Amino acid sequence: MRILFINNDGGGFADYTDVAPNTTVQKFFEQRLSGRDEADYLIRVNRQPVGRDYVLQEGDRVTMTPTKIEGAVGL
Amino acid sequence: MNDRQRVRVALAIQQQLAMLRLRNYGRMQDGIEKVLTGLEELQSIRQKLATCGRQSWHAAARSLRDQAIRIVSHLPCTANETKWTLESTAVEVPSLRDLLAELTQLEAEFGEPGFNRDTCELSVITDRIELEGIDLGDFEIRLHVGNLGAGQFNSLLSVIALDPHPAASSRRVTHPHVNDEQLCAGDGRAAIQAALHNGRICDFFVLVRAVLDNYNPNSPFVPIAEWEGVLCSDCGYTMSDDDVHGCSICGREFCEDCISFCRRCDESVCRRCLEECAACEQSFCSGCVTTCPKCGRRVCKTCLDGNLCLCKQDEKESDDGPEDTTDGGAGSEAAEGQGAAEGRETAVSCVAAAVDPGAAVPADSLREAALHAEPR
Repeated sequence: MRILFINNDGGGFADYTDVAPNTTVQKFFEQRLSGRDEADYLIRVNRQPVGRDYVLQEGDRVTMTPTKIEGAVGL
Repeated sequence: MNDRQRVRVALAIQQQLAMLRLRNYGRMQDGIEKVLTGLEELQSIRQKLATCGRQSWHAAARSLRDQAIRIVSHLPCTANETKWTLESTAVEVPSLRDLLAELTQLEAEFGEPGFNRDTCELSVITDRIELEGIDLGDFEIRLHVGNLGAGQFNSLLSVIALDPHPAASSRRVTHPHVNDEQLCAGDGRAAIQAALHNGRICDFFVLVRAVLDNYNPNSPFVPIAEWEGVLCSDCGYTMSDDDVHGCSICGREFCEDCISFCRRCDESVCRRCLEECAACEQSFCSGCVTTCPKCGRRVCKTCLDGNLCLCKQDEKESDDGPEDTTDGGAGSEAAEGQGAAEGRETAVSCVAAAVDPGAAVPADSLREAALHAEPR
C-alpha cells in the first residue's frame, strides 16, 4: 500500500512510500521517527488531524511537522 | 478570505512557482555545465599526455598528471551537487486544487489568513508566544508571494511583532531569532524552503511558527536571559533593575562601571554631566561648580570658598614675585662672585655649582661660562 509521506523534520522531503496494511498513524510515526516524541509533532492525514489509532489507507497524504525547531542567528 | 480571494491567491502562488521552475532550468543547466567543463578538461589532458608520451616529455607529463588528479578529485563533488540540483527541481508545479486545499488547511491551522493585494503578501497571525517565561506577544508571519519566483529565502518572509516586547538591548530584536523582521530559521531552513518550493504553503507557515515557538540558547540574536533589564546609557550593557544607577542630573540609567559621583556632594552623576574644577581638577556635579566672579573659570565651590581658584593663586604668586626675584638675585650675586652672568643659560651649571660651595667645578668651565655670559 502506497502513501505520500511528507516529513518536515530535517530537510523536509516528500515522497511516496510503501506501508503494510493496517498500519496505524502511531505505528507509522514510530517507524519513521523512532525515538521522537509524538507530542512534539503536528501529524496530519489528508490535511486533517487524526487520532493515533487511525489506520492508514492507500493514497493517504501523511504530514509530520515538528512543533519546535531551533532557530539560529546565522542563516 | 472568501472563495474568490482564495482562488486569486492560489493563482498568484501557482504563477510564482511556475517562474521558480523556469529558474530551476537555469540551475540545472549550470550544474550540468560544471560537470561537462571538468570532463572537457580531462579530455584535453588526455590528448596532451599522448603527445608527451610520443615526445618523451616527462616533466610536462608530470604537470598534466597533477592537473588531472585535481580535476578528478573535484568531479565527484561537482557531480553530487548537480545531482542534488536536478533532484530538487523534480517537483511539479502544484495544481490549483492542491493550492486551494493548502489555503483551506492554513485557515484551519491559524484562523483566517490575510492577503494584501497591493504587496502580494499572504499572512497569518500566531498565538502569543512565551519563551522561558518572557511574553513576546503575537507575531504576523508574512509570505511575500510576489518574490516566490526569485527563490531567495531572505526576501520571502517577514515576521512582524504585533505587540512587540523587544530585547532591552535592541528594539529590532523582537524574538531571540528575529532581527529586523527577518527570521533566522536555523535547523528549519531546509524544511521551510522545501515546503515553499513544493507549494506546501500551510507547512511553510507551520514550520515558521515552530521556529518562533522554540528558543535555541546556543544561537540567539539576544539571549532570553538578557531580554529584560535596563540598558546602560553609556556602554550598552544590559543590567538587572537592582544594578541600575541613575544620573541625578540627566536622569539616564547607567551600570556600576559607567556611573560616577560628585566629589563634593557625593550625588550619583554620569561622566557626561560631571564638570572638572579648574583649580583642583576633581569632578563635580553642576550644583557644586560655579563660575569664579573674578576670572570666569569654572571651579568647585570648595575651591572658590577657600580662595583656591587659579586667579587667586596667580595673584598670590605675583604678590610673592619680588621675594622670588630677591632669592634669584642672591643666587645671581653668588654666581657673579664666581664670574658668571645672571640669567644666562650657559652659566646655569656654574651658578648651581657656585651656590653649592662643595661642588667642584673646573676653573676652565667657569671661565668659559663667564665668556658666554658676556653680552653678544
